[in-house]
Amino acid sequence: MRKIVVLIFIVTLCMHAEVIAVVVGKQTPIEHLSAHQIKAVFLKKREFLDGIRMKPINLSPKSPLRRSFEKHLLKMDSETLERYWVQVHYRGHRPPYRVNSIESMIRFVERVRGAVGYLPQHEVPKDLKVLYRIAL
Amino acid sequence: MSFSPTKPYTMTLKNKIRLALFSVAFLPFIILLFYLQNMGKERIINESFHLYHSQVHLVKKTIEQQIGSLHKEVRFMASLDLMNDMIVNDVDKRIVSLLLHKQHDIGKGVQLYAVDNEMRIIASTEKKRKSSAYFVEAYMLQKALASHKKMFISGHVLFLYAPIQSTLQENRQTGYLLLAYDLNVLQKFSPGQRNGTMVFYFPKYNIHIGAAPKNETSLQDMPHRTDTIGEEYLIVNESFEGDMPEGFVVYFVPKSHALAFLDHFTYLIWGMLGAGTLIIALLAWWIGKHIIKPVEALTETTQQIINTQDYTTQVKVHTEGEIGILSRHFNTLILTVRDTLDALEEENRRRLERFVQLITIFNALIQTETDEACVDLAVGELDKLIENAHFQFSAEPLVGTPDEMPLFVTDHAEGTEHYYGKIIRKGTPLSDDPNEARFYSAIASMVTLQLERIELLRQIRSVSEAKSVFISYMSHELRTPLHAILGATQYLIGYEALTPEQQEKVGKIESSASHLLAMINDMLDLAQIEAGKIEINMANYTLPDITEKVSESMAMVELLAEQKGLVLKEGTKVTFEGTLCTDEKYLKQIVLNLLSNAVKYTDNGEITVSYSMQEEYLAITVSDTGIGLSDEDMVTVFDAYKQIRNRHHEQGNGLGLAISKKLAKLCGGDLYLESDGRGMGTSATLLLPKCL
Repeated sequence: MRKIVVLIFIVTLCMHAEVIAVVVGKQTPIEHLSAHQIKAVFLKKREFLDGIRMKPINLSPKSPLRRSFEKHLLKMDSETLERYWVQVHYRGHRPPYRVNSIESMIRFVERVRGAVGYLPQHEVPKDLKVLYRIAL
Repeated sequence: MSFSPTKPYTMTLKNKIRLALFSVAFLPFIILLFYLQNMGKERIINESFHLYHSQVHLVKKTIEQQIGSLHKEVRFMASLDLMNDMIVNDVDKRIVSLLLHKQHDIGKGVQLYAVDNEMRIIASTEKKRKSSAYFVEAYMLQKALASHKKMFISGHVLFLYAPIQSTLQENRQTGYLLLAYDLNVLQKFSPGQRNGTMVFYFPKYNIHIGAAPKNETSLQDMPHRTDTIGEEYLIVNESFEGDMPEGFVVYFVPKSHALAFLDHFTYLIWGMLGAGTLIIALLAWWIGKHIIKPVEALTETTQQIINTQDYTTQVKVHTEGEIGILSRHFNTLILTVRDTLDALEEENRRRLERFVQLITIFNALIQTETDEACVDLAVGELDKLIENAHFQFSAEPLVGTPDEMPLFVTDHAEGTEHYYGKIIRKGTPLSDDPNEARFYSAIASMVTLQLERIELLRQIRSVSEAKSVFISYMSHELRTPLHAILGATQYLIGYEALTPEQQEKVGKIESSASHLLAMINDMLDLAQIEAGKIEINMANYTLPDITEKVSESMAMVELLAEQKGLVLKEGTKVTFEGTLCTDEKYLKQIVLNLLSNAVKYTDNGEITVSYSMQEEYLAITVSDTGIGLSDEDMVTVFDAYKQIRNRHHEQGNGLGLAISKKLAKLCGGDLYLESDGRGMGTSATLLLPKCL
């Protein structure tokens, strides 16, 4: 099994076929998230899921992973998003908390209840729950 | 003769002006100095305190503001979203870069720390620090937390802190953000060493930033929040407020600096005082020389005039102005005084001359002995005295012109007044001066008085002469029948046929007749003396001659004294080489009279004759231990025809002493009695003059 996974990993690397995993920590008792739900959380349209305050974590704007995430999951380019945040700013919404590194993202997700982050598939540690995968 | 002022402290005009100048010039200085030294100093100190206090206050506020703004920054940073990175131990080093960035903004004096709840340092501006090391001041932080303080001090570092709350974890606290502020940096707020020393003192932590000057009150002992004056410093105090830890800003300002203005001003005043003294001294000297000198010259001249009484002295006029005018007026005054004095002197001299003339006239008038001489003299003297008039006597009746001086003579014997004549004044008419009329009236009165006197003397002389002549004639007329009576009775005493009773009666007639004869003789003597009809034969005698005469007189009364059991003796004697003038006959008569009186009025005891020299006289004193004389007796004893009627059975008519006294005076001497009173004896003293 492990060999298969490693094989797939290598294959995906070789294929440049990257997969983005949406993850939460173990202490976040959420087992499933739809793409719609993820989008609502990251656009701060939904604050609670199953009674848990959701805390989306973003990477820095220049990160290719974030651009991929926004492009493929949120289906929005940078300009559209910027306009969106400017609009919702007046309703009291702020963009998700931004971190600079994958490591930081991992730690946040691990430590903060309700924190939702995204990681490249191959960097997801064992103790994180992958709720959604975006195949590119 | 000195006219120097009697008051010992009278000040001269010069000194008064100098004193006034000095007072006027110095008073403001003194007041200013006094003000500066007292109220001024206090006020300036208060002002200084106020000034420095506001400086300190400004410093304090600045510090508070800075610390406050730093604290605000810390709180702000702690509230940043970025602080969520605490959760992930600042993996992205974003907190570190934020802190470094902030440190750069604030300055190197600060360090910033982000620590988690377990006091591990998550991020810090200290480069060497290993990550996840424990925060050293954790204990102090926890203490501050426990006591709800927002700052704390450790070492020389002030820590400002704010809790970091995670926005991602429902504001759960994730740690603390701390700012370490090096308190030594505070020194940069102190305003320069020149003005003083500023010390930031935190008593609770026993920290003081900046060194307090030595020899000053130690910070611990100092009463906080009060301004005090030390020995060399003004100490201004201000405590931190707000979130700052308990602490003070203490500002030591050297007095020399704080009171520099006062000192400089005082030096200036002293300097001005010195310069003022010099100027005033010069001014006073100048005034003494140029203004007071003429006054002094004037004073000296007046003093000289007073001392010498020389009113010809004049003041030299040197200056114009008031003093010059005063000097000139003074000169005029002196001239007037001199003229007046001269006139007065002349007038006085004239009046004295006139007075002397009048006295001379009066004296001459008194000397005149006849009416004609008196009137002639008066007219002649008046002619001489009054230059512009001629005088003349006239017995014609009055015509009533003012030039007449009527002479009315009073006859005192008759008590009537009759017109004698008048003195007529011819020449210039009388002036209106009442004194002149009075003068002539006085002359007339004088002439009248003298005329009356001459008349009175003439009357008195004729009366006295008549009396003496009458007494002489009467005495002679009385003596003739008395001698007949005496002759007849003396014949009868020798007549044998008379019975003893008849003889006794005839004896009484004889003794009465003898007594009567003696009395008549005395009266005759007295009348002769009074009429000046006795002859005094003055001759020169030596003392032994005199004593011999006295002894002869004593021998004559010796028998009488023995009969009465009295002791008659000579008392003290005297030596005298010169000659004495007296009449031998009257000397013996007087002494005999005195001795017989002594025997007559003495019942027992002794009679002493003694001699002494009294100035130009030899005194022969007859003392007895007899009845003596009272003061009243003494007054009347020499009056003729008076007898002391205490011994009416004794013979005597009282003329003896009166005659003796008159004789003694005629001989150029005197006679007087002395007695201590009734029963105390009497002493009679006869004075004989020495020969010239």
